[in-house]
Amino acid sequence: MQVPMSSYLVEIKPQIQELIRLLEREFDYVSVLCTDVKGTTYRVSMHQTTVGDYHFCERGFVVRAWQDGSYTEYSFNNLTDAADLAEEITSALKSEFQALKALGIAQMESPLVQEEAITKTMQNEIEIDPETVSAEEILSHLRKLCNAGAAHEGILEFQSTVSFARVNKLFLSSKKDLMQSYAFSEGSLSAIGTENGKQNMSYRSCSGLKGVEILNEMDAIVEEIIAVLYDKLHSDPVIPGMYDVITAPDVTGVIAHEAFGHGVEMDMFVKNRALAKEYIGKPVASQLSSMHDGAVGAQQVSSYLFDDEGTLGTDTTVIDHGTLVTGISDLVSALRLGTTPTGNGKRESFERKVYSRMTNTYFTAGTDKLDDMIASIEHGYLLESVQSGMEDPKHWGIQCMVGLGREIKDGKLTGKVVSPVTLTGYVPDLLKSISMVSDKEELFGSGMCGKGHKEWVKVSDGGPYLKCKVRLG
Amino acid sequence: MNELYDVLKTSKASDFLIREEQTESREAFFIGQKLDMSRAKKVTHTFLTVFVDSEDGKFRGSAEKEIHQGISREEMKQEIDQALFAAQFVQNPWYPVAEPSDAQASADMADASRDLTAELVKLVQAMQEIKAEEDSRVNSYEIFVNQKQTHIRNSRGVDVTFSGFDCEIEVVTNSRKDDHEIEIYKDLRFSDKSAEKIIAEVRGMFHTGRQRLNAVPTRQNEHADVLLTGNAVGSFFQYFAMHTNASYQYMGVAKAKIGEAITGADADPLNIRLVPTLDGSAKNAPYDETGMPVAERVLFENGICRSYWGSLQHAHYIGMKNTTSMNNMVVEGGSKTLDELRSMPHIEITDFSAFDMDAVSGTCGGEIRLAYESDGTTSHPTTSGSLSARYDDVLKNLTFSKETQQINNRVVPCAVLLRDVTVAGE
Repeated sequence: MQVPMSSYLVEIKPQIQELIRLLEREFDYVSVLCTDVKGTTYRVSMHQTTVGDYHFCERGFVVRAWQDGSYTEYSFNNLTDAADLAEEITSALKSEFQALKALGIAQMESPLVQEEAITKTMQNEIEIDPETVSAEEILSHLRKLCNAGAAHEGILEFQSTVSFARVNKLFLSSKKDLMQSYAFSEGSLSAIGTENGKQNMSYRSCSGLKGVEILNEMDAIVEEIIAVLYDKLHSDPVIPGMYDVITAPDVTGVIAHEAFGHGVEMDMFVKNRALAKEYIGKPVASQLSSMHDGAVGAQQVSSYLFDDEGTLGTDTTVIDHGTLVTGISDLVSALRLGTTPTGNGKRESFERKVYSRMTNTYFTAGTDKLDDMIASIEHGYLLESVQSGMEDPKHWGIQCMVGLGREIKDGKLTGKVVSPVTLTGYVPDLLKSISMVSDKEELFGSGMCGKGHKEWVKVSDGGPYLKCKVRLG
Repeated sequence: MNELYDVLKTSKASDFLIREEQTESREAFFIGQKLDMSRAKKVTHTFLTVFVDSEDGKFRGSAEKEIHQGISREEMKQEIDQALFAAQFVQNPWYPVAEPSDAQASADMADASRDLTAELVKLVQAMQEIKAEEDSRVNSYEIFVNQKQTHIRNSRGVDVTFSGFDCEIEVVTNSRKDDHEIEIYKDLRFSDKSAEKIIAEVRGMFHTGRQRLNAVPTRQNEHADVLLTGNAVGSFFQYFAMHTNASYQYMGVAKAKIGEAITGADADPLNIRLVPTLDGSAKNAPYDETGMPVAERVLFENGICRSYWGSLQHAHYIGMKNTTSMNNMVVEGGSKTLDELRSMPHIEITDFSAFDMDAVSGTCGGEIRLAYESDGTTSHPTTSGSLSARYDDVLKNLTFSKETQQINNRVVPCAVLLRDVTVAGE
């Protein structure tokens, strides 16, 4: 089915157009992003069941205006009379700007955006509309998964969760009239178990531009995460050192995300916070590796027609056969750098500022078979179940917390597992050490990405299995 | 709020809870010391929870939903009906909602009428005071000042209103040596902090940057005595809050048991309490999200677990008579001074890329951004490598400093000594 447009956004559009007309009397440029993100999260665990709004639900507006060489913004969610609102917004923005100007503070140069006229809409397709399936049916499916997990020995808690989201956005300015409606879903299962006084947890997720059909994908995960949990409960700590490793697609994704995802967000170029700025056109990785980011490069949770500044989404080749090609950019950063915006201007919600952010970030597939990759390792680990990552774009350090490593000796998996594992390294060393790349890629979109320690947005990341050399601790 | 309350009163909900939050903010973004962008915000969010009991009264279902601003009474009814329909299939064991209490009279509205632009200007002026030094400078910063008014009403007569005020400054500094430049990141959150303290914290980041530029790779040590200092100490002690949480207790994953010690006989006496307010904390509030008053609570006394905390639902499930939420946590100092702790051979880790504390598996650690290897007399800075530790091991003889530090809503010792842990390095 085709995801319907938000009737709310259709209804309020004339009022917002009137607001823009009124604000244009006071400001040289005005745009408004209107959001109506709906969704529900259902969770069934052994101890509790919950139903509530999806985490990223929102309905509101953000006005962007340009005055005296600077951009300024106002976020609100109570849509009243356009004239009253225009007066309130003008007063708040001008008084704040004047108070800062009175301090004698210098301003960053912020070129005025030159927009071309465009009217466009997008509605994606999903198989089964969540609004046509009852809460009873969804909870019943999750309960079945939960009971299957709970039936295993030593399980303290088993949780099955599914979220259905419908993103509706309208971007308006005097030249732009863009509207999009797309739906995605996320499913996850987690287990906490105990054995001989040890306690551990396993987790796996799935996501995509899908509807209720995602529940069927979750069925296959139950036994998988129970097996991983038992492996972790029987694991030993890793002996610290440098190892040949194979990263599973979820670990590969976090390496892509942390290494040259955050590292090429071009608002960081403007601030001179990214070393990558000095490496455009230079080799930064093995010739076997290529990396992309883009709202139209992959079909996942961050695939859209336009970003939160009304720039159309693209498919950016970040690394091409080991050479750093370009970064990903929001509109204002591109204006300052004299580059073309890539449709990566994203907000946590209408209440927050835009930054350059990732969309769907991934290494592309190669030609190797996983079995051949394992056979090529004398002593190392197959790393699976990524938990989190952190980058340092100025120093190119990287940290990935990984759930477990499966030992490989003399080209074979031994069955021995180490856990937890901290992968650390210097990004160019890690990427240049990539010596084999598997022939299939997989993307994961159940997580969130922060900038610093805030500004959480939906992204996906992934790629194929990679063979590389890293430090484990 | 009133219209929603009236509609709910005539609905089929067994109970309901409305929480309305009005937030007004002023924000300013800087690159170097130049103004990048200014922002303002005025939003209201109304969150609804409806409860539906089973006919035999043994089960209670609930569904949560935001009721958007400006919707009609008819749309409101539809939203409530949808939530009630979903709630009937939830079926958790029955639990109560908050009842009115004497504490309702003490609601504090002191923060409701601040001049936000003036508050923003004060913080901007403080940050503008920080001049670049020979090798270090402010790269960029973002300032947020937020004023929030919360109104909570439920079907049992709880009707409380209170205000709050908080600030955030996210700062990035650069330090350079020859051609090598690194960045230091800090996210300061508070309700009240003097300009002098803000400036001192940023100058401290300059110092950290210089030390990192002079750092050598951390050496591998599989039996290291590690002194944790800085923000990681707050995350380290969060483990004890997690294991006394009523939800963890109910799930059966908690290690803490009332009347039992969580630390070993050779550990410093562990004393932890929760307090409703703490000077300068951004988390001060007289009520939790369900309208329950936030009370003081002793979690650990000399290493012995004395009580739990958590939601009314989970507290009811584990048979707790009284419960409270966690706004602020105070961990008392230990047996040794910082100087005494530093007088033995150790590795002091001051900064991690991200300190990871997994309360379920009882592990903690992360990549080292800055550490100091010390023989007890002299020390030198190191970087890279990582720490891994297990709580089961380090709690046996956990030692922490007499001196304490406040990190937003937590008062914790300045340093924690973790004996015989693994440091990966060169």
